[in-house]
Amino acid sequence: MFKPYFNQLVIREKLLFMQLSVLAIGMLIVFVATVTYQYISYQRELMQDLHAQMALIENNVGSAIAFDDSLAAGEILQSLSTNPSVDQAYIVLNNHTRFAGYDADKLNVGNQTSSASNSDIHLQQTITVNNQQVGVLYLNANVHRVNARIQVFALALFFAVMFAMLLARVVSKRINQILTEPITYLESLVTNVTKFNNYSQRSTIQSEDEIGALSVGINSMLDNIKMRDDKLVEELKHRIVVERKLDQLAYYDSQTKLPNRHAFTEHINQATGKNRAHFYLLMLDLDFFKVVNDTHGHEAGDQLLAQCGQRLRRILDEDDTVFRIGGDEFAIVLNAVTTIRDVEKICQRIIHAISQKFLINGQEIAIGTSIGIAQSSSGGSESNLIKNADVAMYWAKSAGKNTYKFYSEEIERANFHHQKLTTDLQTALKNEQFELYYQPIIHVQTSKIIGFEALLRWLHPVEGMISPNVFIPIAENTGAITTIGSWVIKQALAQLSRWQATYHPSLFMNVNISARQFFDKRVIDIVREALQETEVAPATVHFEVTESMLMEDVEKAVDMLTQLRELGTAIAIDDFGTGHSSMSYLKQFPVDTIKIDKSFVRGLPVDSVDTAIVEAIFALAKSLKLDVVAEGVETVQQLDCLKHKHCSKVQGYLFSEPVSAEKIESYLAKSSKLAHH
Amino acid sequence: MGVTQPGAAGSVDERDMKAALIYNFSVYTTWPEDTAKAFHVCTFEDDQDNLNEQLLERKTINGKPVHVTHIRQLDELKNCQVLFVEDTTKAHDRRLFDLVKKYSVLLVDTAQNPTQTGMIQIELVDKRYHFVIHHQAVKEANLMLSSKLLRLAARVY
Repeated sequence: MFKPYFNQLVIREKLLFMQLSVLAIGMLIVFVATVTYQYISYQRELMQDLHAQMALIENNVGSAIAFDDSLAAGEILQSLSTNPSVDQAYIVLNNHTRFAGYDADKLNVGNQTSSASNSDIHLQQTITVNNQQVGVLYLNANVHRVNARIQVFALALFFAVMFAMLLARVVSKRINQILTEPITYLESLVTNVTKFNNYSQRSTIQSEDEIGALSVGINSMLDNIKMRDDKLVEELKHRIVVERKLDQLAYYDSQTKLPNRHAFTEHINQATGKNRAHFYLLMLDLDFFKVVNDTHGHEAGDQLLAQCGQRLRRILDEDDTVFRIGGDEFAIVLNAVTTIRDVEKICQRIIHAISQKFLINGQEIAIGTSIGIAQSSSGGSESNLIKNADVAMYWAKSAGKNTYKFYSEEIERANFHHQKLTTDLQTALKNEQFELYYQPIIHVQTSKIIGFEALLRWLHPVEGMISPNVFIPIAENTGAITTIGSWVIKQALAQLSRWQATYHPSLFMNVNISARQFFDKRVIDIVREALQETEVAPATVHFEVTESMLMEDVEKAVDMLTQLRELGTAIAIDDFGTGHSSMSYLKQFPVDTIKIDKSFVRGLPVDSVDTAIVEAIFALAKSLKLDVVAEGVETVQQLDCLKHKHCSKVQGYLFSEPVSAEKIESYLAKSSKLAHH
Repeated sequence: MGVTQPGAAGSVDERDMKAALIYNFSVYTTWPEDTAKAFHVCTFEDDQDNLNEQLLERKTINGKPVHVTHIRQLDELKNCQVLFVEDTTKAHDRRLFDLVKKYSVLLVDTAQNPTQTGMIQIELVDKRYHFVIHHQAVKEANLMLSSKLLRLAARVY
């Protein structure tokens, strides 16, 4: 109960408390001892007095007894009145008679109450005369006076003690203050240091005692801390400088002085992270940079990059950031623009700026740039954003360079589809996903099947039937067209061979050749091989080529057509009328048949322009002695119109759509029965 | 006990009283030099009946046994410490007084009218015995009386 209270006190108070306690205990002991001693002294004094008086009386009273003078004895006893402690004294003779007496009360008339029984001290003294007892002196005395004296003494002592305590308290307090002042000072110093982390403060105490030692200790401790602190600050400063240098190295590209890929990734991470700011990301790739590097050397390349960086920086706003993210690639984050129109303007300015000639080592160098743009809000993560911009950049590159493309998900998806088909196409042939369909070509007058156009179909396991318009360009791009084309030729010829054997040897087969296939010399060998394998009469094999294919490289086309003709096969121009072939060119091509494009046939017989074109084609064919096949005949009216114009061969939905070989066989079976009948 | 109990004259024998008084006087008196083996209380032969001698002879004074001696001639005084004289006329004898002083003998007499001479005189007043001291005479005899005795004396000359 006391201890917690004591613990709360400050040292000064504790000291004072302890000092006063010790003093009080000492004082109490001294007080008690002194009072006790004094009391005993007083008593002894009293007893000595009484004994002395009794001795005196005894000495004097003996003669009075001897001479039987009780008056004299009484007078002698009366001398006791000088001692207020004596209550009574009387002399009893040997024969037990009272000889003389003294009673203090008799003098103090006012106080009759006290009697011998109140007395505390009872003394007796034998009275001898000439060594013989003549009587006894009895004396009763009290200690009232002693008590009263001791009380006065105690009171005086008490006040003295109190005064001493008071004095001690004042002195102690002052001493304690002097004693604890340094402690309080040190305490406040340490508190201050802790509170404000100011390690430059020092204790000014310079005493020789423990506190002085403590003060010195604290000072040296503070010195150490300060030193360590300073060292730490120094080290931190140094570290910051080093870090800044490292940052410069880590985040900046030394050639262009632009932030590098590292900085770029971090910037994008931040930008797409928390605040999700809206911005545009531009990915730039320098066109023909590799050429510059190869022809003018790497040094020139580096200078070119640096200049590019400067140009880009000059075009852009303060808020926009340019990064060099590798090789000849730059990235730009546009923060300041909001509309696509603005982005386009900037892209145009960039393309313009980069396409201006660079002067490096006295030489003029021209390059370009392709820009892909992605919008921050469009694509979730930062990696997606970068990837999208990259994709758009490749589109720009493949769109002919020195241009810009915005990333769009639709295009991306289409591209993805395209990509998927491209991959699937690689294995389609092996997986027997290709099938040839055949559309019969009908002789108008006899309404009989006289030939077929072989049409390639791709039965995709997931997407189902895929049109040649979709996959042929892919096959051409990837080069797969060579193997696929060869398969088509062989397949078609094998089929024709079977049908000729079964139904009629004059049946012919039209096989489409794509542009890429057409300009590949190997196609000649493939055809030759197929013809040899199937033993089909070459004349019953017609290769269909388009006008635009022929016009791509007229000379080469003529050469190819000539070679095919030399094999004995015939050539048909597909989709005739849609291209821009001129008469003079047509004359050069060794062609046997022209196929009127279905777009013209569709207008028959109502559309006069179509009718005129068809008529003109017939006239042309007649003059060039070419056979004509009309495609896309869907109605009887169209057929009648064609009949009227002396068209002999037609194909179209009016007769049959492209169908499988089995279906064709059933047609052929029917028509042969009809023929037999 | 044996000490004479002083009391009223009527109740105590006169002879006893005188013996007791002599004894008490002797107790409070100091003699100059005393080589005698006994304490001699002397009386004249004709006074011997006035004193209870037996009472005195049972006592010791200053550790010496008391002898009561009856003298006939004044020369015998030189062995006495105390001389009791009942007859006042004898006591007033000049020659006796000189001798007493010479030999340092305490002279005790009973005188109805105390005179200039004598040392200690016993008187009976109102049936009580008092005594008168002639201090000068005592001093001249080279005797020393205790102050207590002097205080108890009815009169001191």
